[in-house]
Amino acid sequence: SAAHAQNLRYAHVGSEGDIQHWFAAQAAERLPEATNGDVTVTVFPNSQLGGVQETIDGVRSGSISMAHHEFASLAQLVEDIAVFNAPFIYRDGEHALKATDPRSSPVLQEFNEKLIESGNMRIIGRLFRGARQMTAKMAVMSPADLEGQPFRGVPLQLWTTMIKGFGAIPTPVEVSELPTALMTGMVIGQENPLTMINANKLYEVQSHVMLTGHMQNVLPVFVNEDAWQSISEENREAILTALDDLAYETLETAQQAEKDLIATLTEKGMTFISEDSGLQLDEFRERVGAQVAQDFPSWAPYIEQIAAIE
Amino acid sequence: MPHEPSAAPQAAALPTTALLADRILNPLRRLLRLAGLVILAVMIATPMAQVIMRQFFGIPLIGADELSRFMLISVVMLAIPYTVSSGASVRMEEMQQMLPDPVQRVCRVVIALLGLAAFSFAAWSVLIATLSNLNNATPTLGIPYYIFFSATAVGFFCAALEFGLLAWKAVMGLPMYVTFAAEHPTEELTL
Amino acid sequence: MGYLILAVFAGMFLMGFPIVLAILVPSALYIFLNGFPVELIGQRMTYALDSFPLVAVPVFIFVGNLMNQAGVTARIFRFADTLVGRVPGGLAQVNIFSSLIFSGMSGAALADVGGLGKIEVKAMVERGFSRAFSGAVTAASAVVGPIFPPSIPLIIYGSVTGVSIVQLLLAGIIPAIVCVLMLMITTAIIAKRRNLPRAERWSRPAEIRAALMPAIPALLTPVLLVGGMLLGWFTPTEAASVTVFYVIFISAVIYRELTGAHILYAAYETIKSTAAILIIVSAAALFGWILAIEQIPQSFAAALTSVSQDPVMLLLIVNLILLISGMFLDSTTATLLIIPIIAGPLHATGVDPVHLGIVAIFNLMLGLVTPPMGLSLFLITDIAQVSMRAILRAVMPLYIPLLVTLALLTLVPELSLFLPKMIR
Ligand code: NA
Ligand code: NA
Repeated sequence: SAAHAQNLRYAHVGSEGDIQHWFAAQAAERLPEATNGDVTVTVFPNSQLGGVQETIDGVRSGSISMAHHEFASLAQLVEDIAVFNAPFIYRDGEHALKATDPRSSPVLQEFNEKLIESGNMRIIGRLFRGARQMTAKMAVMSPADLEGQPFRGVPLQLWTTMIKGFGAIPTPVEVSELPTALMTGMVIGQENPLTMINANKLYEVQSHVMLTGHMQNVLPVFVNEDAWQSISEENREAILTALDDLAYETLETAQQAEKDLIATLTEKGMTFISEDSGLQLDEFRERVGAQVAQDFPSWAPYIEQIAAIE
Repeated sequence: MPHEPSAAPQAAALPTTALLADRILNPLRRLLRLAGLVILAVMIATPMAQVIMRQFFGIPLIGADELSRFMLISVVMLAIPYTVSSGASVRMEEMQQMLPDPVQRVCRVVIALLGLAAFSFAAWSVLIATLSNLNNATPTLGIPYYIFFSATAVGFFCAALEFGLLAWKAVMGLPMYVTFAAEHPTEELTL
Repeated sequence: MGYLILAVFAGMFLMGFPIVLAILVPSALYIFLNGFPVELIGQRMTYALDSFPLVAVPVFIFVGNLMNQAGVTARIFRFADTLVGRVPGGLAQVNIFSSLIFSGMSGAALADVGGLGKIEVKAMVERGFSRAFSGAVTAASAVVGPIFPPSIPLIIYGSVTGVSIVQLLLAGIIPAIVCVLMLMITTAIIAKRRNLPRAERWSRPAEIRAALMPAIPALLTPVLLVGGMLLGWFTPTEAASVTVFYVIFISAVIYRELTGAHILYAAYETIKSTAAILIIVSAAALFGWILAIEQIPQSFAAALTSVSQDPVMLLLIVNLILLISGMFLDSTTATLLIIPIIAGPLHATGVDPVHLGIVAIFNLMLGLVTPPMGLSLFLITDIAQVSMRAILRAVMPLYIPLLVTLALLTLVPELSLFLPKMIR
């Protein structure tokens, strides 16, 4: 059967060293195993086939077979799907994976129907990239400490909302310019998973990490619907199972890495601030929650549904 | 030297079909150039506005960079026909110029015809892209795709048109490139 | 299939096809023949320009064009004359030194040759230099334009590789000065041998001051640009935009020479050269997509690292590849096609991406003054009214300082990295 195997072109924008890269490479190894060689995968990391918007358009048209990226990047195709990116919406990493399980989460399935309809693609898996934490060039205990300060945000409405909720002024900065912008003081802080903070050497330009864990960063894996339908039912089930196993492995890896990284980054001179050392996490949660409710009123029912998932 | 063409052959007293075509196309060319001018101005002003709002008023202009990027796409795409008609496309003609005259003429015809074909195909591609993304839009400002891709569509289509005209001029052995009077600087600088 | 496309591209390019067609025709055929969705062409070509760093390209082109329209260039030349006119080589030294000052406002080498170059050649010829030598010095010294900030090639390099553009721009400062010193030393030696004319005496402080005053606003431009970025006031793209307003302000209010017609002319020129350059960026993105699908960058990277794992050795190999490509391709095309392939493996063996950027861009700029595809040479034969043969003979000795600079930049990373390291 390997002679006429179906090859899936799997694109993502993550760079080597990121857990995204590991996930995609593992998928390329395990999907052929799970499907007895009927389905093979070629990975194109590092934006080789284009940036975020292009990757999504590519999966839609089929020039790219599958990809993964933030839920928020699908928001132009399915309204409100960015709710899965909402800050402080999950209790922990495990809850995040349950809420985004394409086989068992009713919320995700509801969005998936719409995604197939309007985007010619469906979510077949997800990966856990770690919790996003806040860093700054000073200790930040509560939103009051960020009042009127420029803080880097991804140029999407959701981040603008969240950073306003933090009390700061959302300021867009390209990832490549982020270390420089933090050094020169164009922005005083940013938020990202610890792996990214370590990989991009942000410890050289930031002194404090606030363990806000404001976003449990889950990235959906989506596939072109035509490509998906051309795979046999049996193989599709095998793929879903393989990707689900991988998702839980990324959770485990990310949580272990987070513990290790706290030690590593402390060694590199960063100070960690948690609720134990005075971080007013409830204040952040409240302010951000209020801002989300104000800017995204239509999210309320989904937030409730997600909270109800055990 | 192709990149900065020195005074291109003036389309003077040759009342032929191709020149008539130039006369018909000129209003469209002016329109595209004017659009390019306005877009360039907006594109240059937007980052400046961003700096002023952020540094002096502490207000971020969300979507300003998306607007600049959209303007960049538009100004480049709308100016492609301009680079084609004025002969400003980057290319290396040194080898071609070593060939005998009749062969050179064939080369010019072939190049223009392939330009016509390639840009027609590309314009069609944009049309398909737009039609299959009618419900899609840009992330921050929500610019619909039929607007986001419109400059590319117009630019590619008009470039195909200009290449078609160049093919005709090459076949007839007419002067190829046209420039506007306003393009020449008004005065020479002196030391 | 992938190599076949590269061959078709090379063939069409040599036949005199516009580069955009040499890329677009084989790419469109590939997409059609392999059954990829046709919308890929339009999407890829459009999204390639959906980049905030690239917005700085037309803005800096506009700055260069404005400067050539506003009488700023003549003031720079006069100021440089009072400083180095007495150095052996006289106006040839002024020519080189002016390029360094001009490069602080311009991001492209051709803006230097096409604008400042006219004044330089005219003045040198009037003072008894040969047309060929005047043209050769102009073309060779224009190489520093895109190394000293601002720089369009470095912005394109940064946007392709994701390297910080602020760091790249800072990294170019010292290499540009090194290059100018090398050129000035060589010119002094040539001048002594051929007994070339120079100023009668050194300028008096009062004369320097008098020439400095009208040049101050122009000299402040790079200070504003670099300072603004270092202080975190603006990003490179924003800096470009601020520079436009600043240049319009100084030329309209202080120099009082800029008219609406000048601005309009500069704007039309900008639109034309922006489209000519960035349509290549756009088409090359489509090409890059196909090469990636064909796994060509991966196999090339594997081949490169199988030759050697030593960063210095790899840099030397890459220099050779770039030097040869730069002779045939224009620098934008070469940057877009070659850099994405070599950056990965070099970075992996420990070459700093900022260092690589300076070496690669300086190397590709040498392609502007080498035959057969030397855009600066073409332009200067037109301006100086001399034959290509005469220019080539005159420019030959100037290859030595340029190649020495390239060797220094390659072997001494600190020349590039000293300044950017201060903000790391
Ligand atoms: Na420069
Ligand atoms: Na010069």
